[in-house]
Amino acid sequence: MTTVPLETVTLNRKDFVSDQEVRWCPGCGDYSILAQMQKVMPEIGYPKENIVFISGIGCSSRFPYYMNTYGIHSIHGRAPTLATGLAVANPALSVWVITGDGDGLSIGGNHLIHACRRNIDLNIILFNNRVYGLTKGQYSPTSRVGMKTKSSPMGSIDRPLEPLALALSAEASFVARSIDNNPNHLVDILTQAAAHKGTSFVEVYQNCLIFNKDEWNDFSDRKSRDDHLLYLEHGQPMIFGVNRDKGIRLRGLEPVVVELGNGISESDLLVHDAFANSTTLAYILSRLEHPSVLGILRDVERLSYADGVLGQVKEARAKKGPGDLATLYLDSDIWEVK
Amino acid sequence: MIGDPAGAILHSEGLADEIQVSPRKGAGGPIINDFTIVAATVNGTGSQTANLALLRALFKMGIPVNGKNIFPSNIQGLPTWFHVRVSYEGFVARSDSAEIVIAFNQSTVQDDLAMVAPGGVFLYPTEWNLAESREDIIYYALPVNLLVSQANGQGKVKDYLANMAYVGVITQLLGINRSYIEEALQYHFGHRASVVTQNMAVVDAAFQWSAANLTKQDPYQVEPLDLTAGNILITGNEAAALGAVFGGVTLTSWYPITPSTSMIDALNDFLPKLRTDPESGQATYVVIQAEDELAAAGMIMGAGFAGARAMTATSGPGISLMSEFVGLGYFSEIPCVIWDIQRVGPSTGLPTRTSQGDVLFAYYLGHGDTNNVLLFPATPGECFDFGVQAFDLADQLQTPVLVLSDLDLGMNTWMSEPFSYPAEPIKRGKVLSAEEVEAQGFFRYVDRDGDGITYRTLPGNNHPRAAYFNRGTGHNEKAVYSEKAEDWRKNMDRLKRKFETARRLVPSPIIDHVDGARIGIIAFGSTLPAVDEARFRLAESGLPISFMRLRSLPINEEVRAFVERYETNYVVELNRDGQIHQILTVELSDLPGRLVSLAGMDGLPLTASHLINQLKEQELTR
Repeated sequence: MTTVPLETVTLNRKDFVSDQEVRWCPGCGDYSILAQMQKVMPEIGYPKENIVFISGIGCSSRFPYYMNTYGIHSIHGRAPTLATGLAVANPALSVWVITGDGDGLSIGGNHLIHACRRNIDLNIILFNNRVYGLTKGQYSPTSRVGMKTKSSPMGSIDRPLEPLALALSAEASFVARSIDNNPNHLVDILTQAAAHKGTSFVEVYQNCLIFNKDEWNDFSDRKSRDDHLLYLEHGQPMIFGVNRDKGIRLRGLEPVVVELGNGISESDLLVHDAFANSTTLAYILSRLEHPSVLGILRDVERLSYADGVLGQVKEARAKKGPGDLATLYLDSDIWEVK
Repeated sequence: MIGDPAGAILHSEGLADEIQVSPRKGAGGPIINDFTIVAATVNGTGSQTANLALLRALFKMGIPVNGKNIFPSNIQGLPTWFHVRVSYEGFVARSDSAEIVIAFNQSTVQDDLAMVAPGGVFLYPTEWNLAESREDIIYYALPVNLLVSQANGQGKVKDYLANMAYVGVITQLLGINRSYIEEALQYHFGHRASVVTQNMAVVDAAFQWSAANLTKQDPYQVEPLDLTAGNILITGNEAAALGAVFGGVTLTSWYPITPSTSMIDALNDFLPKLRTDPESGQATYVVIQAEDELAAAGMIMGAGFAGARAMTATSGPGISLMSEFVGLGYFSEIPCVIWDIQRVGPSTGLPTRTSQGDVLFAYYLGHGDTNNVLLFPATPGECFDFGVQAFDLADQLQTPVLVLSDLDLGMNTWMSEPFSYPAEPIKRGKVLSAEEVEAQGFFRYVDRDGDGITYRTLPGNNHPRAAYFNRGTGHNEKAVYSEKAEDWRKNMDRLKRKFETARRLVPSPIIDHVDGARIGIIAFGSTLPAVDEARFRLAESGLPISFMRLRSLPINEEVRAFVERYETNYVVELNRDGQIHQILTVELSDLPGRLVSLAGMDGLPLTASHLINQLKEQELTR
């Protein structure tokens, strides 16, 4: 084998911009996610040649076209399976799965939960715009009940899935949410997802201007959006609001919004614990709607699948010593006619 | 090109000459009702409205037309081309030749310019300041911004209205009846009168500007004809959905995929109006958007087991996912209907381009020995008819029936005779009531009639002997689990016998024997218009060709008789490997050498001139 001698180079954002013309609709939230991803890539500590982006089908799945890295544009819903094979075959890679609410939760829901469950060392970024884009506007697994689309002319009657709750149920070891219109936050979350060993599941609220333009209205106005968003910080009480005058408290098992003051102080509020081994708190946060949470809900260490597999091999060798082909052959059930 | 024709051909000397397809070259006079308009625009700018308005107005004038949208896999922003074929002779296949090119997409201007036929027209916005480099064509530049602002088009609608500028100019240049454009827009926008007014303001501004400022230098004109009266314009997918409604569809399950989506959209449009019980107000149907195509296939099998008329619509990737369930449906004998609106594979391929590439896969879909009934509609009328017949065949044969349409037929706009109410009542096949079970007894897989088709009961039949267990594992005649070699062989032989029965139940080929024909064409589905046109032109040049259009698989004796009759049968299909050719070659293996494959596929609908060239090459070198 020959290796090409390489000098260590410093990469920047442009090194990750591919030669393909970016083609999403004008105003699509995907542009921002792409820009932040390209900004994050030079910082994650992987050589460029060890980064792979894998996607399925849908608007979001066009994403890898525009990343100047290795990549696979695969088939609908199945990106986690390819990514699993890749990440286990070569644990030195940084493997990114780009998916959407249709690709990841509908046709690919099965593979998504099993990738999380196995804790494959993947970064799964799910763009959630709560609608099908590429097939032109049908309701998706995250669409609200009552949403009228061409395929639900009288309103959807399907209960929506909450992506983070699903990932938590599958025990994903890193679960976070960000939004396309907050570049700094998105950069931070993507960076931390990259650093996490095991499955990092990141939901990104993403705006589809063509088919579901009002979905994230509460979060679009920079002046008022903080009244609708709770930014999670580990070890900090859950305070939110433009004036930081509201908080989250537990009443029994139910989270409730309270106004600070009038006898309610910060010490009455829930304190975030992203490192809790139990998924209970993260689950409660994942279901919050007013406000919605942004940030890292869960970040725990758990044996990654590749480490587990390699560990088993190591253990077997420690017990039995290295194998020998001739011995294996002679040990097997062979009827030899002499 | 063709080699030296001398001596190479006995029957058709005229073949060596250039065969003209539309438009026929005149003696420098006007060319009336015989040309193709191509509008090159940006996807998602509302150009479809403009193009359909032109198409509908021409149709209303009594002139045969066809509209094809050649579009990208993208929501907004990529190039799209809309072809309007105008033909007094009634030829509606795609034409290779573009006489009038409307260039409204600056990013494709060079390609669009190259597309214009010599002597043709190139219409483009003045704002581009284009160097008019070709001397063999006629340029018309129109001041789009000016025309839109004259009509008070402002803000976001401005981009949409811009397309109406070319509608106005084309209307004036060709002599299209202005009021038909207005009617077409009224139809398109429904009750939104203000939108019609706004669009017509641009059309009129452009019309007047054209009349005052353009000197007509091109030969293209339209004149009213009486060839479309009583006809309708419709897409194959809408026709198929309407057929399914007439066929009594009660459960549809699907997953969004181009180019099948518009069929389900149409169902969602028709069903609430047509299939609501007048007394209870309850819907008598359901359309389920499943989590994927695999689930959709499962749902229709469950419904088929229950006795519902159940269907799905999908395309190649969906068919791949459905293969395991189709095997179950074949083996455990569950009726259901699967529409495959074919697009270009393998894999994601070209999702917005047409093909006939799923034939072999669909015919044998499922692992092990599996044979499936396939239907091949060629026109919207047949999409409608097969919408009904597919359910009848599925019920009669108790098996999945796959209808193979394609993107060209399904999504493009075709002229059609109005559809007629099915002449025969719905055929529900061999389903036993409780009384019949009492009188005749019941074992699910006993072939009482010798046709391979056994009797079934439906859940809800309360006779104590009516219930049976539908299993995908080996079973005997009583539907009891069995691994006995004899049971397995007997059951599979019966399924083969059932497939033989299918040969006489499925739609027969449409056959046109022509006097003096030495050769035949075999084709199916949406290549029909190109085959018709090519045969017409070749007959004019002295090469009469007979034609057999397959409408289904498996084949019957008529297919054999046709192939036997001609020394050469050209099998025309839009795929690389000659898939129907392969199937015919296997099934008619005792007729070697008579079948010649003319397969080929690039994602575009077949043209007559392409087929003529292929046939000439074959005939002159054989």
